[in-house]
Amino acid sequence: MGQEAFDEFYLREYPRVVGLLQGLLRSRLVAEELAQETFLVAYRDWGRVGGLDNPRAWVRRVALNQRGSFLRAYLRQQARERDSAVQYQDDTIKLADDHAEVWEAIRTLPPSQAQVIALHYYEDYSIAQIAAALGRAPGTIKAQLHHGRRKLARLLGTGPDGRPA
Amino acid sequence: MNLDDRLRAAGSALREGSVTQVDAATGLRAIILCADPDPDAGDQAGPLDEPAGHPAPSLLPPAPPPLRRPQRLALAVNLLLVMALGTVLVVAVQRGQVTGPSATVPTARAATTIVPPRTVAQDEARTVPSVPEACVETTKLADEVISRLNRNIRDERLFLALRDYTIASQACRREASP
Repeated sequence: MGQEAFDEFYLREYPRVVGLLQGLLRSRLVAEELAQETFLVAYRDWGRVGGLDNPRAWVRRVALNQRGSFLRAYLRQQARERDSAVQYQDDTIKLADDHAEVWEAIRTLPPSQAQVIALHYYEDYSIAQIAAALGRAPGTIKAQLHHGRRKLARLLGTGPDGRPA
Repeated sequence: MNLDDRLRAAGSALREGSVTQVDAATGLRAIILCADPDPDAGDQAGPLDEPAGHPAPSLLPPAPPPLRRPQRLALAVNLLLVMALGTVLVVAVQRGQVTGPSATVPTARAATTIVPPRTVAQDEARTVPSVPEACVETTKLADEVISRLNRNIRDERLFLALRDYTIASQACRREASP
């Protein structure tokens, strides 16, 4: 797996990973930064990563871990500085209001549920694929998906069948 | 529209938005610059269509970036080490001549000084300095270190060369000491 393979992989996957992170973080700048960090790790170890069965799942797992680390650091900073100067800018990928509202609701979920929802609806991953990508049991993923959906239905005022919740 | 459809539509919209709005080409250039400032770093470094023997991938800027402060410090320390090594070598050579069997004239002056008639073999034996093997090795390693520093190649190989140089220079000092 050489440079060309990495270039192709990057050009195809990087925007998708940015989108995934932006969906979970709101800030596109932060999403791009974390995605870049993720691909830097992949680039430096491309001999191994490129040979994995599923490098796509690997970068998503690393990206989601990066997001977790970032959020922890961000929350620690906010705790230290009550009026933290770090604010999310309006730098999001532009979406229609209805879609933006959905992602806003996803971001309020607990992180593990938000990740599962994002991988399922953004990446079209099956439960088995999400379990493999996140290294969790399929039963856990199923439960997180169920709980996440239920909360989203409440937040968005939509029942599973389309009727108001 | 039910919840599932709404979530799928939002996922699809973000996916399309990310593909159309995110500039991956710039990111790729940045990642190569950031991860691989060493143009000689093997087959991962540059595009495969790079002409052979051309040291810098086309994505790199023509001039190397200015050295950062720790790099400048490392360069200065390494230059000092090389100078110290040079001094040790000169002293070693001079001592070798001074303590030789009948050598009282330094090599530099030997060419201009009238010396008593001797056989050619005797002269050669007197003027050829004996340099310890470790010192020869040290100079080779020093050359390698300087070459890498000059080209701003700071990787595992520089670290190994510096480590070997340090070991060899210590051995050289030991062997050159009377």
